[in-house]
Amino acid sequence: MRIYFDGSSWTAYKGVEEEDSYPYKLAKSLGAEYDNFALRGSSNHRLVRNLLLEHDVTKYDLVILDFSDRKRLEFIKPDTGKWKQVIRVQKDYESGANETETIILEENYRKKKWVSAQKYKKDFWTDWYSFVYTNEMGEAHEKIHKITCQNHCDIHGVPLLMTCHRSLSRYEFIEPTVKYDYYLKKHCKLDHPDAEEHSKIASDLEALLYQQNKI
Amino acid sequence: MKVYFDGGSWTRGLQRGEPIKEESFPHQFCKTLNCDYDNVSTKGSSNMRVVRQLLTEYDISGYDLAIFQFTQPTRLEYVKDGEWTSQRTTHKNVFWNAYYKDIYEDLYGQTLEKIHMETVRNTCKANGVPCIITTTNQKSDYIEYDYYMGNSTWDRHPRIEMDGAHPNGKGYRTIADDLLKIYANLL
Repeated sequence: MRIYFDGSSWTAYKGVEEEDSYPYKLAKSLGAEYDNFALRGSSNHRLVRNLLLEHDVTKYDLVILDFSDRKRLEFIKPDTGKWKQVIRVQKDYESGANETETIILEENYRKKKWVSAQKYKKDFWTDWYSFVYTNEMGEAHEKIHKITCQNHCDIHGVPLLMTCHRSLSRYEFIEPTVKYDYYLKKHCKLDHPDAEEHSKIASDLEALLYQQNKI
Repeated sequence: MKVYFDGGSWTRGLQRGEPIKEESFPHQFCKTLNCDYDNVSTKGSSNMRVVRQLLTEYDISGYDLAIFQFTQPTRLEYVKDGEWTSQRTTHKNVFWNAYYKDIYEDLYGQTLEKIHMETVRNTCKANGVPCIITTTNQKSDYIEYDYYMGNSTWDRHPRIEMDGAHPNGKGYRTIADDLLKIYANLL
C-alpha cells in the first residue's frame, strides 16, 4: 500500500520531526509506504496542480489532502521560473518557508488607493488582496478545488480523504465553505500540532478510513 | 437528447459584435441532431469561468453531451461589484498592466490551461457525459484539443470563413459540421 499526502505546514510537520508527524504515524500503523508532498505555506492551487499534473495518482492506493486557507495562491517567480506560494498574513507573522511569498498587510488592509506602476513589484499582492480578491472568489475557488480533486481521484479509482486545517487561526478564523472529511485542528491547541497531537490526528484518520471503507 | 455548450464569443455566435443565435454553431449543431441545448457561453469569457460554471453553477449530469470552447489562458475572472468579471490583456488599468507585465508568465497560463482542461474532462467523465473540448487559442500547441477553431490566417483550419474577428454564418456552419463528425466518432 502506498499513500499520497499533500498539504501545507500541518502535513509538512512544522515544529516536529518526521517520525512524529501524522503522515508517518498513519503510514506506519497501516504498514504502508508514503510520499509526502506537503509544503509550508502551500496553497490549494498547488494542491490541485500537484495532483492533476505533477504526480501520477494511479501509483497510489490512497490520497490524503490537507486543504489550507483559500486565500492563498501561487504564481511563477519570473527571475527563477519556480512556483511560489502567496500567503496573506498580518504584521507579526514569520513564515520561515523559502517557497512562500509572504504578504504582510496592515490590520485593515491598505486604504483603497492604487499605487503607481513602478511600485507594483513590491505591492502587487497587497493590492490583489485589497482590490481583486473577494470572499466570493475564495469560496468559489475552494469549492472548485475540492470537486476537482474528488473527480480526479474518482475516475482513477483511488480513495481520497480530504481534510482541512483552517489555517491562520491565530489571526483570523476562516470557516470552510465546503464540508471536509476531517478537520485537523480538532486536537490542536496552538498554531501547529505537537507530537502528541499528531498522534491523535493519525489515530482519527485511521479510524475514519476504516469507517468510510477507504482501506 | 440535450447538449451543454460553454465558451466565449465564438460559442455565443458573435458576428460583427452581435450574437446571431440561429447561425451560431451550437444552434446549427443541435438543429442537425434535432435536440435541445443550453448555451451558457458569454463574450469575453475565460477558461476559469468555464470551469466555475461547470463545477458550481450547472449540473452536467443532466446533459447527454458537453462541448466547450477554451480561450487564451491570459484571461481570468474575479468578482467586481458583486458580479463575476472577465479580465483580458486589453486594458488600461495600471494594476492589470503590472499583472500581465510582472506576474503573469506563459508557463503559468499554460499550466492553468492544462489544469482547466483536465478538470473539465474529469468532471464530464465522473458524470458519464461525453465531452468535446475545443479552443480558439492559436498558441495552444502544448495541449492536444479535440478541435481547433481558427481563422483564415490560422493554418489548422483555413476553411472557416471569417467576417472580421469572428466566423460568419457559413464559418459557424463549418464548425458545426466538424463537431458533428467528432461527435459521430464518440458514439
